[in-house]
Amino acid sequence: MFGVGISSGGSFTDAVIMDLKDWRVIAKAKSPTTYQDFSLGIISSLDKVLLASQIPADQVGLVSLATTLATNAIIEGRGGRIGLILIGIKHLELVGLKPETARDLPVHSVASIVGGHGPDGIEAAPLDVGGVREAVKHMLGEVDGFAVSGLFSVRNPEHELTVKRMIAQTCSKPVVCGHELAGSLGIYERTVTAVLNARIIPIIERLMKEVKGALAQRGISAPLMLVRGDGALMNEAVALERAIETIQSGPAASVIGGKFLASKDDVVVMDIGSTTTIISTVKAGTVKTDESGATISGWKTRVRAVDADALGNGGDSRIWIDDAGRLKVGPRRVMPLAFASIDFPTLKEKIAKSGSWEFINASKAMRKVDGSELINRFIGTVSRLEPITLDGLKNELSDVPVVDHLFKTLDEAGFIARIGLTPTDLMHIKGLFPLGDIEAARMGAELLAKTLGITAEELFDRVWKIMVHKITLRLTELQNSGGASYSNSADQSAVIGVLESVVSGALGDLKISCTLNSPIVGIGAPAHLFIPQVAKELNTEAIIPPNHEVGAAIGALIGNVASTSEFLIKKEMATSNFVVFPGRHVFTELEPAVEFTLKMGKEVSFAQAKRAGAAEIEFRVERKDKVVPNLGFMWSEIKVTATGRPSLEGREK
Amino acid sequence: MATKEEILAGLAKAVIDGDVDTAKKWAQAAIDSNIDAFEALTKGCQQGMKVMGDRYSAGEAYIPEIMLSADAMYTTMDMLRPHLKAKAVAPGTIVMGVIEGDVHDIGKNIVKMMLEASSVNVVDLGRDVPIAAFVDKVKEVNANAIGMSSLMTTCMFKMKDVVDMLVEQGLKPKVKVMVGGAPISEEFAKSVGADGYAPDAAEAVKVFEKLMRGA
Repeated sequence: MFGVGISSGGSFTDAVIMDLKDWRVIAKAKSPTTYQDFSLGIISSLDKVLLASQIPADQVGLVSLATTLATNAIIEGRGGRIGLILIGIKHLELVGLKPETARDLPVHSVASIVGGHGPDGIEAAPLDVGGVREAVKHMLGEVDGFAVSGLFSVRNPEHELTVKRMIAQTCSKPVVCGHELAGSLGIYERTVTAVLNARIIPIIERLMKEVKGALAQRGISAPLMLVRGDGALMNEAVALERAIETIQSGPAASVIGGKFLASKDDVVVMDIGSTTTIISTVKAGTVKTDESGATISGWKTRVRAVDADALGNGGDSRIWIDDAGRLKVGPRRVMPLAFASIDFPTLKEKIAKSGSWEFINASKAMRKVDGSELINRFIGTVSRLEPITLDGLKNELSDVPVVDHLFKTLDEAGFIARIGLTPTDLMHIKGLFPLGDIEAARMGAELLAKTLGITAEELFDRVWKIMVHKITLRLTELQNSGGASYSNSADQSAVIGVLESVVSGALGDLKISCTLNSPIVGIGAPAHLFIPQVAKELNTEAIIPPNHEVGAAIGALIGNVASTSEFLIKKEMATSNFVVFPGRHVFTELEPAVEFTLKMGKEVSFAQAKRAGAAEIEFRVERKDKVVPNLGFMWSEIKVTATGRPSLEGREK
Repeated sequence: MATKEEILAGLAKAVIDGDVDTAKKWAQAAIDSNIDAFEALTKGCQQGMKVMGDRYSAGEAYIPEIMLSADAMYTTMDMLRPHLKAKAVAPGTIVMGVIEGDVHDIGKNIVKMMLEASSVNVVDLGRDVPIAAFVDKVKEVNANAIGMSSLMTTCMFKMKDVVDMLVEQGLKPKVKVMVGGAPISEEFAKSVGADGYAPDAAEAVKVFEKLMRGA
């Protein structure tokens, strides 16, 4: 049997077909990522890889997908209208909510209901069932889904579950409870997680439906898996309940792919993409994750995700000249000339005529903005299908005195799409990237080089040096902050200053060098062009494995299905009882309490992993006891994880 | 006119003796001689309380004597308070109380007094304080810290519940937690997630100050 792994990145959607027995790569393919409709790029890359591999549809046993769709939707503020029911919170402002406006969280309406539990899992106040009924009735016609979050629901989920049952009796809209997605304290983070999850369910649902439809048309009946932010897989049924867990799935897939391709247990994985360079660390075979939860678009969630650093330097970073005449790369992302020329066939003419290599165009978001007559004229001018130079825009709107200011404001708000010279263009000129219009790239590079009084060849070398320098510096900072702690920020900037000097070699005759203890594995199409130099600067080995350009697609396919459940056993001093949470299962001795917890943990995790599509399930138990001298046992935190390979049994039609 | 040293020593001795009248006399002398009120409190009265605390620990003093000393100290404090410089040594508001199920509040009262002497704004919830009351009060008065004490091993575990309530409602690490009491150790304090522990009232002031400075 064979598996298809697909990863949608910032610019490209990569696909790979592997033999599931020996993990041999049979074929790989690349298609542009289609932001308007992610499924188009996914299906296109799927078709390409199927064609290249010549593998018949009935031999495909698994399809797995890492997509930034959820992340993008949250950043862009898209999603369904959500009714939020909070239980037992006396002060709404503490969870970032103002009852009158409810604008702080992306929810349509909020109801605050009396109820909730205490830290001991005992009811703090009885649930106001009448209040729930009233709130649901009120929200029902206006919302697409519900989020339910109660005080200490991780200690006792009873009230959240009651509300969920009550809503399910009145409608079939999705209901997400805080305790279902997070096992730790923090009602604010659990509420954010539940709300965002409820919001993006329809978006993930649409994607799955389209991809599933395409698979069916091609005669593929294999299960469809989605990659989670921690790199584990889940099938469609579970992904529809836990859509939020797909955030950070791109970086997760690339670090897992990198670790797999390098066959190393201690390695730094660098994925050089179009927009960003993602840096993550593998230690003793374990991918570093952020246990407290990923932050997305300023929202602190409780979603466990790979700890990846995104540096705003990639293939599509803008190459530009600052006011002092210095050459700069990034962090802004622009559309490479080589690709823009394909979308806008008159671009080369415009470059020749204007002598400029930078153009502006309205982003999709801007075309929707409704404003005053002035703003509408501005939008009309930039959003004609053709790109325009900034000077051209100023000429056309010469009677508008604030055009500079307006441009700056809209540009900073991300409403302006830019076209310009990028490392991707320079790679085209060098013949390293054959997908776009090489001529447009060359015209832009020559114009910019001329401005600096250098040749295009020299420009290439200088841009490369800047990229390598930035990536190296960021990596040294990360490795340093991973182990060092600073008493103040001045100390920290001093250390970063030293690292900067070391990396740039700017210490005169003094030579200080940095050595990275683990090798760097390069993932992503241009990895072989940067990573060897970065590794050399850091006196370590660069691993550029075969198939590195589809490393994330490989990572999407090789993950396991996993499910973790969390428990707490607490000794209550007044009674000397041992109480197991969530719930309130009371035992007089510790050992039976532990036995009960492990049994329940295995049952719950097994059922969840099986539902998420796992086969051959194994368990991992993590137990942390708190014992204080003279007092003895205080509590125990127990995590049970069930892990298994994805089952290859056909999905339900 | 008595020297500064004599006044400070006099204040300390009056507190040790639990002699309210003499304490009043020395407090007035401190005010008349323009001795810094805070210095009079910390180097005078507080030193006296410390001596009493040490004697109590060594079994050389008993609770009634401590209470007499506390009376003397409160009297001088009331006189000196209006003369305290506006610049607080450890600015901030702390909500204090003896944890649910426990009524032993002498220790808590001494810490309260010391904190007040250092111009800390103390909101005292008294004794046998339900766990939810700490957090509700913190929200109500927008406090910077919670101070809890317990003398009973069966009750001290409730401190963990208070910390859990802060974590659950997103109030930690903004609100600092300090704990104390006879059975409490530094290790216990750490294990329940407290930010500070003090073995005595004088130390409690230092811990509070450290926590407020974010050190």
